[in-house]
Amino acid sequence: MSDSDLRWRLRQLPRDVEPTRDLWPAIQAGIERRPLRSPRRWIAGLAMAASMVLAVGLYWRAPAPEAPAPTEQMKARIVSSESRAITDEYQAALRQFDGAPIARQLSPSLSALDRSVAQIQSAIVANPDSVFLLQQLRRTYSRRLALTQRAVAS
Amino acid sequence: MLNAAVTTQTDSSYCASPRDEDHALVRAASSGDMRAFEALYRSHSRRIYGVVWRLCGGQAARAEDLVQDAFIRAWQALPNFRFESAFSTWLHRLAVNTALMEIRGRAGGEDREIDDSALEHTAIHDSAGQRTSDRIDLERAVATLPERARAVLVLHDIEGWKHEEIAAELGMAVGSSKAQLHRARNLLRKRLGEDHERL
Repeated sequence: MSDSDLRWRLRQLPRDVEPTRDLWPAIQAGIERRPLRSPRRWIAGLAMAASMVLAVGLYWRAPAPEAPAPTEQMKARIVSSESRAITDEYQAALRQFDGAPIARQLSPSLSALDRSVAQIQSAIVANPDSVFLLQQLRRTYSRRLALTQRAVAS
Repeated sequence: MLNAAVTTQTDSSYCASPRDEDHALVRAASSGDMRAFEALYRSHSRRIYGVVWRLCGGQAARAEDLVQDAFIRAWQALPNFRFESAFSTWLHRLAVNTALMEIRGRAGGEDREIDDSALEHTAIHDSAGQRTSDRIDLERAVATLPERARAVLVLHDIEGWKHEEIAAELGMAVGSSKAQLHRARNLLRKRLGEDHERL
């Protein structure tokens, strides 16, 4: 059987599958235990606030008529400052779960994410102007927080 | 309340697209309307369960737990939903991400037993006997694949994802995704062949 034959057969499988029971009551109960909230907006708000403080700071320091284009050094300062802000805020959020029982099967994933955070932070020190690494740090912390919430809830 | 609004619009020959209806429900659910979120669940649960159930190798109980988790996560993340994309796409991604996080977190999670009752359950809607039998064979063969290979095969060959997307979601290189797909297809061919030889 060729790849295309196999793929054709796989594509014929129904996409919709009916669960063996109605999952809504359990979902509703889960939702009622955890209110609607917006962690990413919270982080975005923080990032925006940090950016505004930074922007005001830079404007204050720079002579307006001859303001130079952002240098690598300036970019590095911004990345470094954002990195610290992200770390502080996520660490504060994660501290809320200190002492809570964690589902054992999720511990390896939590440890792996912690290692990733440490590696990204080291990489930021080595490449202080990397906006990409900053995004990776935010993404990894976001996953860590989501998984922690799941590990505590399960 | 929102359902009533949608019904009224339909009655007056206004036909909102499924995407618009979803977005209206998302707006209502984001402001705390649980009935709107239930409507979203009713509309999308089978599609979401389908992909999660396959990623879990046909283990119904595990898939159901993950779908519950995915919808709870979706509820919490609703305020972050950008209305630029379809809600179904966003929810699908979130559910796949939830399932893959669990798969990555499972130590020694390979080669678990498939839940045959779930396979029979999926076949109820298919009336052609031979096709049903072939489909069950194929589902069973997919379910017995190693978890990573199965995840790549399900996402690429059934769900139509690109290797770049799979690699990003699974935290692997694009080349590894391609290699896993090659491995999965070979194993699948072998297992389907073995099944037919047994018959």
